[in-house]
Amino acid sequence: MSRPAAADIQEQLVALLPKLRRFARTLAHSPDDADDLVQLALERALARLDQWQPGTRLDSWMYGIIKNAWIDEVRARERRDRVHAPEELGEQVADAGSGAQIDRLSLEAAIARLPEEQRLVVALVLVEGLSYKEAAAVLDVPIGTVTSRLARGREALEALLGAAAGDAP
Amino acid sequence: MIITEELLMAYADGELAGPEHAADRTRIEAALRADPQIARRIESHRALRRELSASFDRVLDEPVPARLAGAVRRALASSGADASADTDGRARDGAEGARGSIDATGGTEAAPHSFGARGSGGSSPRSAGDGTSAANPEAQHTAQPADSGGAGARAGWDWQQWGAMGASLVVGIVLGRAAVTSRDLGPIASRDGHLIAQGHLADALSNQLASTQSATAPVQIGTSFKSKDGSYCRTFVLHEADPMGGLACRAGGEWTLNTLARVQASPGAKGRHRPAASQLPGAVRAAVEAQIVGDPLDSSAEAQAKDGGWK
Repeated sequence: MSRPAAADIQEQLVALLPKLRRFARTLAHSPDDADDLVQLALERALARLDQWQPGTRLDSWMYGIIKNAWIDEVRARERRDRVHAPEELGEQVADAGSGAQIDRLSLEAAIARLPEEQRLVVALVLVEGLSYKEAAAVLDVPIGTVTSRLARGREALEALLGAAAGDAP
Repeated sequence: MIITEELLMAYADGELAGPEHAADRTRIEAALRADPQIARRIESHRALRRELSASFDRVLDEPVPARLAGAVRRALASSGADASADTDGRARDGAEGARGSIDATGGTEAAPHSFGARGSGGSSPRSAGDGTSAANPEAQHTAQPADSGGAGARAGWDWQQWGAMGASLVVGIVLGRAAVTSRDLGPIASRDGHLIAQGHLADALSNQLASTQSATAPVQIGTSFKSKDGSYCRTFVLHEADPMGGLACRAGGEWTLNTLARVQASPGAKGRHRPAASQLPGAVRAAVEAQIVGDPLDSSAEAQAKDGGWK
């Protein structure tokens, strides 16, 4: 029989955890939210292990589940914040401190400013290293959509980061 | 010969390696030899990727919180595919212990799926081994006092032009009745005692959708809704040297600004990061509250209203 035992898949999942956390961190920004997201995705995945197609990439399958869980969360937040966005949102994207942390904070803050669909593509391709085709499969969109979202996301990041560099004291 | 940015990007990402892309490769490589600017663009695409990797790869070195591996192993122990009973129980247990920063800001009541409220098992202090390097700068960052009302530079449009409204903290609120005579004030005109959006502000109000707008667009649209008098209104943040937030309502084929207020700049920001579109001044939020009928438009209603010319 070709189907791997559940135990094998679960061991593979444990091995994937660092990467899944990295992907979630790119999406959710806050480390705690990111780990909540991974946990939620794991629970969903484990409840439907039989839906994973052996022979396909387990990491891609998990990225897709994380993506869906994240989009659910984003929509829930949008409903909550429909009229009044919390002030803290502004603080999250604010500039912080000085010195060596600036670059990194700027980058994370810049990513946090991207529209969701661009952030997903940036995370999958530029951070997780998927090809455009693989990212298109995870997101279930045509490859041309991946390309254009990635181009726009990059452009936005460059602009946000460029502004940071230009204004630095 | 035109080489699009998308094509250059794909080249930089190694997407054109296959034989089916030989023609594009040849074209780009010829352009590369002819134009050093092309090489710089490719390099900047690659540099961004390296920068992103360097930043997020740190997560790989962090210890994985025990609760995550635990979630997998518990599922195994409870034999295979059905893990849901166990995990749901835990989610309730840990409800308060694991609030994420985002949930701390707004109620969770309406959220069917609030993962900020998910359990960490309640016992292990997950912040201990878990991502401290990334958490610290953020903590520092949100702890900054939100004081300075934008000591920032006043370049760009000159708000001093709004003489009739006082030179200092321009605004507070401008209630559409300011006695400004008609002058060209960039994206905002004054006519018959009303402030009217023009230029790129009018354009964004008419054409930009909150759901698809770019994070770097000079105007960020917030909420769109139907007001008590039946017109469409939209909140916006106008990113100039001094960002302004406002509420614009459609009347007589134009966008009348019935509230306009300065956005409090983030501490020390000086334009380094733009305030979020959602960071609306209190006066604008109060105006929304006073005028809104029903729910704000969702993204499809927003698109529909746009296609209908906001009538």
